[in-house]
Amino acid sequence: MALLEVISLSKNFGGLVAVNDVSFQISGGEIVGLIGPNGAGKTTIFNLISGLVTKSRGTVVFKSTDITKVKPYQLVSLGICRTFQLTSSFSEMSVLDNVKVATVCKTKGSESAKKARETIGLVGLEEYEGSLPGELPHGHLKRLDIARALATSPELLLLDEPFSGLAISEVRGLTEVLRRLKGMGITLVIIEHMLRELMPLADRVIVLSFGEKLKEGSPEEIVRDQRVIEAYLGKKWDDAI
Amino acid sequence: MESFKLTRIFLDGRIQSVLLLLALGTVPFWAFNLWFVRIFIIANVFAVYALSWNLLVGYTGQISFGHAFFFGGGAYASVLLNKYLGIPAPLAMAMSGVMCGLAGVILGYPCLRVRGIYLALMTWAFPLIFLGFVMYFGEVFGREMGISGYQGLSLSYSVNYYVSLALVVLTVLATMVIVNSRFGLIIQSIRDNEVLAESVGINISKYKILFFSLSGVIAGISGAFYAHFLKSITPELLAVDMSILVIIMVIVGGLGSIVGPLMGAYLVTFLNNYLLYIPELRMMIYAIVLIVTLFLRPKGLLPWSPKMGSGGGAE
Repeated sequence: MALLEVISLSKNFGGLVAVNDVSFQISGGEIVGLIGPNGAGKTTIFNLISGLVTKSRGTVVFKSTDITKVKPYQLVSLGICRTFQLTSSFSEMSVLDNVKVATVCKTKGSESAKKARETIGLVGLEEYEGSLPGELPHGHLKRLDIARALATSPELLLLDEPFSGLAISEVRGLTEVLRRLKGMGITLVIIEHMLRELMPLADRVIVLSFGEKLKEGSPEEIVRDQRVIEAYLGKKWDDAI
Repeated sequence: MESFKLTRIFLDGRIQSVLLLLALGTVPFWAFNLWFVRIFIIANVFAVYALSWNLLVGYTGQISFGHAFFFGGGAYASVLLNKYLGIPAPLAMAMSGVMCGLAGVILGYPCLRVRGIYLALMTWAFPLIFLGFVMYFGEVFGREMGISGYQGLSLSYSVNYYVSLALVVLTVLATMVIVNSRFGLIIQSIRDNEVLAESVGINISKYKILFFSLSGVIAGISGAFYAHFLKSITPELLAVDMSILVIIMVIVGGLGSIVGPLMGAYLVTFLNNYLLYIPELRMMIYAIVLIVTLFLRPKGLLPWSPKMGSGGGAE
């Protein structure tokens, strides 16, 4: 049984069709890459699943429950959390408090601080517990985003471009963190443009183009698909594999 | 090293608040005359009023330009309960607080739909609506003449002073407990980044309304005390000046801390009493003080007024 089912999801912004009749399923415990050129509708799909944007048509089902009209904050108690494309944090709160606040809807009292510290340890930010987000380098802010989302104890984590702006060494470190999360049984859907890092990580990849689903399959199938190469990957990728 | 430790202790907002409240406890012993005690009683009332505005604006980031609705509303509610229903003043004051809290819930809902300057404008309109009722139902509210002839507080200025100080202490304690609890974390997260707060499971509408209501309760009780202390009220309590006055107090003292609004309330109340002799220049001088403060010290005049910090809470 699928953990998440997206059924005929569509979104129009006036005359612009941002997402058109997209359907896919995510099974528990897998890492799924969501890729496509800029403007393909990837982040819009995250916004639609997480309830930040109202759907024009379509249904989203999580663990057999229709969550199409569920409010963003209610999704967290159901087990879905997301990060944003641009790093965002509670700028006047320490790293520890940034994570602690994400635990409050599921834990109480001292459990909250314990859970926050465990999560900070999981992403390797122990040294920065007392720092303000503004004092962290970009790569650590990406980790803070993930820590905050993890602190909500999600079953499904939607990560919007977690590698963007990171140096290769930082990407490798973050990739290890994401593998650890998979090992913990957390299902990940990752929007990413850094395909060389995403492909070895993903079990499955969904390709979007102009708001529509172009292809879905294993990373190997995706990189060999002629339509995907033409629409997104380009000839160089074809030569590289 | 020792002086460094001492400096840190004095920079702790809780220590500052305790020291300030202890100092205020001695006022009746050294006050020059009853007029001085009277000004301090009014300052205590305004300190509670300022803390209520600060709880809403400083901690949750919801801008209110119409807090006179709660202050004046609390005053009118308590006076009417006392005068027409014979409810004793202390009980009427408590009931008016509850009524203002309920009004906060009702008014909080439309406020959820707007932010920033639009929220400020919407809240600015609330006391004007109340003012319209006061003028229209003149038999009940007394129109421009207001209401008098209801039960006052104790005849002793010392008793009135300590009751008003007790209200300040209770409000300070309540604010400290709130901002140092998980609610403190939650409201600070809402103030910092609403979308992110919602994405980690916080029902921002619920907390915004809760704090709108809580702020209304505190402002309502302060207004009720003010009414029973002065023994007469007029629609001026609902005027724009009353909403602006509390903003000046908090901004001058320091938004988002506890000791800042307290000090701002005492400074502005004393200034206000001297400016009563030149009423035509009063608002102009306030405006200048506000502009200068915002220009030179946007975080408040008090350099040592600490903001709500990390660690799950405030000062």
